[in-house]
Amino acid sequence: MIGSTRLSILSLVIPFAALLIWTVQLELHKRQGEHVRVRVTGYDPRDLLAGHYLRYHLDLGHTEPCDQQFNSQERCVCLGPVVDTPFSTGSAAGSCKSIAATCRTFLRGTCADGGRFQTGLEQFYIPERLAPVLMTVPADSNLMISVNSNGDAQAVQFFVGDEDVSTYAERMLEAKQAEHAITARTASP
Amino acid sequence: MNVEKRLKEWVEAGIIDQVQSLKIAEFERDRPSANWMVYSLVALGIFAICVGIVSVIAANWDEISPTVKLFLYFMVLFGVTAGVISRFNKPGVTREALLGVLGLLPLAGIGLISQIFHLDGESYRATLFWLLITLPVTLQANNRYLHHIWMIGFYETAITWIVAASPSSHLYDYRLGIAASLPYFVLGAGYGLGHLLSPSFWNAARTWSYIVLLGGMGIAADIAWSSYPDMDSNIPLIYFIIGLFVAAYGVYFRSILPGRSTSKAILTTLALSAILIMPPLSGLTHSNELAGCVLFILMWFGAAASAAIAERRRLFDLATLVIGIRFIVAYFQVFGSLVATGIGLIFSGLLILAVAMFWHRHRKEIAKAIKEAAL
Repeated sequence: MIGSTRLSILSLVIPFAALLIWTVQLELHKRQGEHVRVRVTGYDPRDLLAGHYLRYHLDLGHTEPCDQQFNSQERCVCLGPVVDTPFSTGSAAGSCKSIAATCRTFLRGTCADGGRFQTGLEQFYIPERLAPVLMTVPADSNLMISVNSNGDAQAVQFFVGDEDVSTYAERMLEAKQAEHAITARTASP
Repeated sequence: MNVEKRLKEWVEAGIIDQVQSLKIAEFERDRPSANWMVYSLVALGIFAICVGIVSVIAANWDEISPTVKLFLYFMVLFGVTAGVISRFNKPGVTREALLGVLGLLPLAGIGLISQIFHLDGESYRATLFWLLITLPVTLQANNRYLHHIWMIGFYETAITWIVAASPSSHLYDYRLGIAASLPYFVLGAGYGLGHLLSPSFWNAARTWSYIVLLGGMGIAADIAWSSYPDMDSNIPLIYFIIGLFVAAYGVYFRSILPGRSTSKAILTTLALSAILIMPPLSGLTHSNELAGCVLFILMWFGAAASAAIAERRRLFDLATLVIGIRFIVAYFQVFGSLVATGIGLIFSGLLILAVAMFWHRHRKEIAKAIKEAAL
């Protein structure tokens, strides 16, 4: 039947359309959300680099959005500026309904095992080539995120101080290679 | 080749004459199934392409900007989609190859987009998204490899969905309750809808549902019967019971594999599987090893009977093999200490050989007897 053939052909376009819409949605979220910078810390100094991803923990100050009673539940953290810095940190935590009613910029997440607050922002892809100089989270590391009015956030860029992580790592890599070259020249007869 | 060899044997035995032999050989040569070797090679090629694409995505492309990566990916996906649409009404290897690529390429795309936008999250979300957007494509294909891969992805997603929750939490129990019912729901759909849309897809659905139900869940339940119950278990059984009724409904009102004997055998197998699996889920086993063993063997006996009635010899052989292995495991559980001595090992080995020889010599008679008893 012609109708069913048209429907069949239309269904073949679904993967292309779905992926395109998802990509556009992610890009719009990244561009249009409020950009906030949050400090990060490593949560396992022995394993900060898994595969090609930097893994870390957001520094949300003294807020405790999760404890045992909130396991697997959705919680939110209100973000407020840290005085005299370009960064934000957690100023209050609670149910998403109460936080959304009282806070302009907030982060939505889920409470995982061990009281960890997971926002989906805990990893950042870096080229494997730069991994040797990023085995520990450098001091003054921070993450630029894009947050929408629903509290959903997306990672935009990873910084070390004010330098983006790729530029920082390239600089460290060049310095390391130069140091090796000097050591090799000194060691050779 | 196998057909021609057999035809020669039949002609020599006087079962058929030379003219009939030639007609049968010609018929077999023209059958579409003769192209399955080509399909297999094409499937291997597609798999290698998709693995290659995923590998390239996983490697470092820091010299190429994310925009270019995405543009190239969507161009390839667009090209494959256009190719499928243009070949849609022309059945053949090209159509199936393109549908296979269209079914697997979105998985690579999800990986690429996740990497570019630094997305984090449970893997089941990614595979669930892939399953949903490729289901219409999978149903349009006559490609059984794609159907089996999709079903493997379906059950893999269910398993990762369960383990994503903390093991001692209510969420874990809730997810386990739902996931345990999935094979029954899929079997219900597989039998009830088996004559519609894509029979090959529903065949793959039934195959993997039986593997999960009789293999995975059956073995896990058998082991659970021998342990002490988890009195804190809050696994909801309502989904399991509804799934069982859906499966029974699908089997009873199915259009494929007709016959009352077949219905009886399949329904008996499903009922026995439920009796085996439900008590461990609800924490009512009370460490009853013998009950678990008996129920497991009875469930697989039902599967053997179903295979015998449907004249599926390989399935019958597999079912009886599983029963034999479970008997041997039970023997070692009961007489384990005998194995420690040399004489015990010799006796055990002789017993295993005797069981294997008996099964090999008499399995056809056993299958025939089961079929006659059912009829």
